[in-house]
Amino acid sequence: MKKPQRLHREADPRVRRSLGAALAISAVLVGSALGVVGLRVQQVHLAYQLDTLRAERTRTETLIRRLEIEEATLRSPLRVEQRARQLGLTVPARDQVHQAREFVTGTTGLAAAQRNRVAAADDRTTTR
Amino acid sequence: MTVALRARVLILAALLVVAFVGVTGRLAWLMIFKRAELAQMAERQYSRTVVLHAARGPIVDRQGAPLATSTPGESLFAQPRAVGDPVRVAARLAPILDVPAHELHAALTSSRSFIWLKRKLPPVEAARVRDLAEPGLGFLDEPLRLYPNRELAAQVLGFEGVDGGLEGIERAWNATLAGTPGKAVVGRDALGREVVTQHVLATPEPGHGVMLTIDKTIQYLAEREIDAAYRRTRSKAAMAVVMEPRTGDILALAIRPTFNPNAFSDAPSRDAWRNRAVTDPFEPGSTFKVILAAAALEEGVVRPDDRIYAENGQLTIARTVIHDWKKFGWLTFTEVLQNSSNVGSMKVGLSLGKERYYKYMTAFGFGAPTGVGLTGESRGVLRDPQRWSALSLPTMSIGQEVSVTALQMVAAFGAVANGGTLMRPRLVKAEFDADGREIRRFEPKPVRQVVSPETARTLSRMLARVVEEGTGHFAMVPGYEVGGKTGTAQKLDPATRRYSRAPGVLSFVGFVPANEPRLVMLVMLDEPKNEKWGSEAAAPIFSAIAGPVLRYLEVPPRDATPIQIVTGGGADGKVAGGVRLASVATETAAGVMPDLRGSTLRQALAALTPRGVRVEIAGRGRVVQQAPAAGEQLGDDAVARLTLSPSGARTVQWARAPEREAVQ
Repeated sequence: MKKPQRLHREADPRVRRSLGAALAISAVLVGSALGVVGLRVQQVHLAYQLDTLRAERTRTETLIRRLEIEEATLRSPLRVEQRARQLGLTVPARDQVHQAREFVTGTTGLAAAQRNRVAAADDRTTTR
Repeated sequence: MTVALRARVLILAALLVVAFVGVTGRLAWLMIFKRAELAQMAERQYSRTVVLHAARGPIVDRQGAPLATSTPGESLFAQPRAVGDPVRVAARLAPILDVPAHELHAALTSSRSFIWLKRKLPPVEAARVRDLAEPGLGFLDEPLRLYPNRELAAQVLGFEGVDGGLEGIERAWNATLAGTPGKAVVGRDALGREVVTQHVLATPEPGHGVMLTIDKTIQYLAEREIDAAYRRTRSKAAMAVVMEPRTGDILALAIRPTFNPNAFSDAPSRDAWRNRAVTDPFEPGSTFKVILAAAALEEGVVRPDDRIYAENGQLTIARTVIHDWKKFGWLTFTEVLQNSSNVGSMKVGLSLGKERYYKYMTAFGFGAPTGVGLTGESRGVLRDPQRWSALSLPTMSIGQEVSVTALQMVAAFGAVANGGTLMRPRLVKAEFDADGREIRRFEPKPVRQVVSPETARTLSRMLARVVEEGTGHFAMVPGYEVGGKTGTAQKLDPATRRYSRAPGVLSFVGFVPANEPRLVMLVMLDEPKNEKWGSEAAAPIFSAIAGPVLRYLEVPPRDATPIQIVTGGGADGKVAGGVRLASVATETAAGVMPDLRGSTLRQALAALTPRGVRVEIAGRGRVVQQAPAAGEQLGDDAVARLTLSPSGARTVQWARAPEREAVQ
């Protein structure tokens, strides 16, 4: 009587290669899918951040706008006059106001005219 | 493989093929044929379209100070079906919104699915409503328009309602100010919150800003005086219009009654919104004699010194007796104007003739809008000469049977002050974009040469006499020569169809300084209760406004001797020794140079001005050097040269070159 023998299958190298390739492809696909999902999650996360920053910018702009309005309100001539009167300031009398004519040295005005006269005199001296 | 097994395999394969074909077909149906519809459905689920509000452009004065500006605001809406208890919600909202509870209740029980409760809430009110945490209430962003100077120039600025500008510049320039709203698709998460702007369909274009010719300070000065006069005289209305004659720039336009454009609906009457200076024509009365005088002088009908008999204050024309306010005999034409003689003016008018007078009236801009660019501008009333009665020419010579707007009148006087050239009144100086860059400038526009410069000069001198010696005496501004004319006009009584004896329109129109005008101004009181004459009521207001405005514009008084100040340099070398901080030795005898070292510029000028010394100043701070030295005699043409350095500086390092120039 023959001893019962176990069925032995030879490993087919082609099948093994195919299996390996399929696994690799699957891994790539799963990896890609996870990557896409991850990116999407990141995108949503960044979108929330962007939203927060945008809201912050809007708040800051609003604050700047309000401060500008407050400044304009504080500079209102009516308020300035009332405040000036509270501080005891009065409108100056006619003799308290002096008119000044300003000359800037180096360009025009008395000083420059004098300098030019001196320079002209020097020129004449040189020419003689 | 047995036959049965093969059959089963085939059936399975067929089923799989059918299933696959079915799935593929369904996919093709959904992905190809129904793609657009489904994509739209999906987009509706995860995104929505929102309106991106454009910022409304600001309105600024000629110095760039904001007169109207916008800030983000919110509008409150309700979804009545989602509101819990309308009675309770209305009761809680009413005090915050300042709206009667029954009105809110009516809105909250409305059958509509969406209803506005209040538009454009200030941020404080919005926060208080939000704190209520009532379901069914919500907010949408809507910019809020604010006017930081409240009533200042209210009729010029107008105001903005829900649908844009409703009055004034806000209305006339609405297209420029409003900008263009944009649209965007935004993503939203499972809770409906906006996540990110996915696609901007249309970018919002912010509105452009508008720069006015109005000067906030001059406007305030004019309003302060007009407001006081309006209250004091209990007038129906009062106004002042200030213009720069050379450019036609409107510097101030003050009107009473007024309103606060931040709460325009609270105005006691809609009349307060109206810009009477452009919408309301009035009979000018005697101020119109200036137009007659200009025409008569230009046509050579009369000269300033020609004598006219004023018929002892009474003249009968077309069976109508015209009176003067006083019995005058012989008057020169200058005196006719100076005393505002009706009889004298009528005689000049009759000599001029209606065709020529009409020609000049139209040339001065009467009977046509000025083109200032505000809505509702009146052209006034100036009938064609063919429709004049026998009485029209004489009465028009004294400013009756003709109606003008305040702006027309100011522009006409501006022409006299501007050498005879009529300028188009300019209210908007420039337009600028959201970054503040000027994109359009409106240059001053001469309309026409109405009279020759010589005629304008002659008339200006005559008008200066009106203020110096005539009816316009109260318009005098100390230190300045004023030219102008008073006006006291009665109004037609609709009941009797005759001129009422009650005060009608009291006015003064003038310019200052008369020889080189910087301002032309009209002051008008409409139906004052306790004043009778323009000379007594309107002329002092002119003076009260013009004085501070001239000082603000740094127009020197005619009798002022300017102090010459040299700046930009100092002495070379070092100023040795300490600087004495002392009061000025004003006790020094007149004609002797006081010791000014250590004094402030103010103290030094106070000491030198009475001595009639010309002063030259270099630097800032306290006096550290002076020439002549203290105690020296001051000649007739003496010049005091002072060198100043900052307070507290004991040793000062000066620049080299300029010292010789400044101090020597």
